Amino acid sequence: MASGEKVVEVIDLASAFEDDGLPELAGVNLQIDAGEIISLVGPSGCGKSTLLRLIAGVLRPTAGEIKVFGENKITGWTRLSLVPQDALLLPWRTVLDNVRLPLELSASKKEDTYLRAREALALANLTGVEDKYPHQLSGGMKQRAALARALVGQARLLLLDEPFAALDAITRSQLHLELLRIWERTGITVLLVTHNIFEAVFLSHRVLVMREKPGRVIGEVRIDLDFPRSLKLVGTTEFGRLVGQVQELLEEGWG
Amino acid sequence: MPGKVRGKSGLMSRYYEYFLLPVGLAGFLYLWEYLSGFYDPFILPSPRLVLERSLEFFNQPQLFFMHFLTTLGEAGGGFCLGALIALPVSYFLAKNPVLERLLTPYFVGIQAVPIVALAPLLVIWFGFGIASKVLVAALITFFSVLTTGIAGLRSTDPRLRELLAIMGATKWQIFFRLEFPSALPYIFSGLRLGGALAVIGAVSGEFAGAGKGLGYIVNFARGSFDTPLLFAAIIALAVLGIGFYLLFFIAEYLAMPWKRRR
Repeated sequence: MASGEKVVEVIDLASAFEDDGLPELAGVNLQIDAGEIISLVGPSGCGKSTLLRLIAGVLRPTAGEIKVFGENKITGWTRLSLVPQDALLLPWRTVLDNVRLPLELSASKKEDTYLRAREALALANLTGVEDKYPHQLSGGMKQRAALARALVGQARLLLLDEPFAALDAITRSQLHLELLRIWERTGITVLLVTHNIFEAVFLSHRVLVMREKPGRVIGEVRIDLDFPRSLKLVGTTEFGRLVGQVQELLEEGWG
Repeated sequence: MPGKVRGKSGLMSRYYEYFLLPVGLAGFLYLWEYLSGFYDPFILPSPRLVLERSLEFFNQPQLFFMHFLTTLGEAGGGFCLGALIALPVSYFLAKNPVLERLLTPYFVGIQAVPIVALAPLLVIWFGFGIASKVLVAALITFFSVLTTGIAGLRSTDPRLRELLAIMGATKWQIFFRLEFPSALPYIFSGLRLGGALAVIGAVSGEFAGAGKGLGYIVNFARGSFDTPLLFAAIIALAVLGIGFYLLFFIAEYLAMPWKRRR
């Protein structure tokens, strides 16, 4: 799947906490090729979400460089989009209007935004609730809506900030398969931040392991499991071995 | 407040609601009638007497409408004036924390003074006419809308702000699509409070010195020991207050469809 194009390059990145100026991330290096699914795992407080926000361009690093599609500054939902942890849908907008929002901001034609929002909802497998308000949806449906919103601009880089963390196990597995299906159809590059090791191994090409104080990437585990992947993979010895490798790296980070 | 989730089945509670209001009102009137039997009409006139006096009051349309509309106009005009000024000012202050901190002591000071004490001053400055009452109502509305407006505009979820920034939203897009709708529930609670206080403000102004309005009637009735007329004026003021309340209820329902009861 990887075409060799560098979608994300992070070089010797450092950032500091806003309040006390202590280093949060230091010496972070990573590269993501086009079409890869990469997971970032690490203990809470290791700065995984901060790293995601730096890549999204809403935070500035104190040192080092971030290149997304070879550029230093990137804006607009058509290149890079995000699914946050709590879906973060606007409560006063219907599902359709929430999905439409990114297109509306970039002054697209109105009829066009509706058409493309419906397509994105279909891609995220969420139909029949277009006119509902977010509070009327289940947690899984909210995440599907947030996923549709992230896909609506046909961004080539999808940032996922623990999007499945608040879901029950069954809904989470459904959304895992949904994400893989969308990836197969679009070839989108995915960067997933998670603290769920099983999820990271199941979804990714590579799992990057981080440690804390200050946060940095201490190693990676390559997941050489064939696509398409199905849930029964979780029961195989190979899967267990890869999970073990990630655990081992995490444990090294604590030492 | 619309939007609350009901615990019991909707049908059952609605069935109750239809009876609750008239039964409660009948009970209240019966209790009032019963209690009025023990007292002189000067202390507690019976509902019947109040009704008679009200009809007498209402039967002179020129009198009734003049006084009612005067107070309505003062409260309504003052409310609109205060709210219209308060909204842009609250946006400005929400964006300028330093200025807000500088001005907050004065706001708290003015709000801490009972409006009945400020009203005479405004009457001295702006005369016995309508203008001084409009200003009393405007002043009291201004502060209630200002404080909730600032709180509302500050209530924006920073994560949503960040998300819209990633989408490439401009400052104005963030205001109209995020900050303003986030602030709406706060603004409406400020408007509701301001509406109720505007009536109090207008009546306080009339107390301080006026030749017309329901507050004037209250004063007049007290002076002539006409307790039934006093009650009639109180009921007219209650109608005014309920009218304001319903207006906001409808406005809120129309402005915030996502908060509607399912």
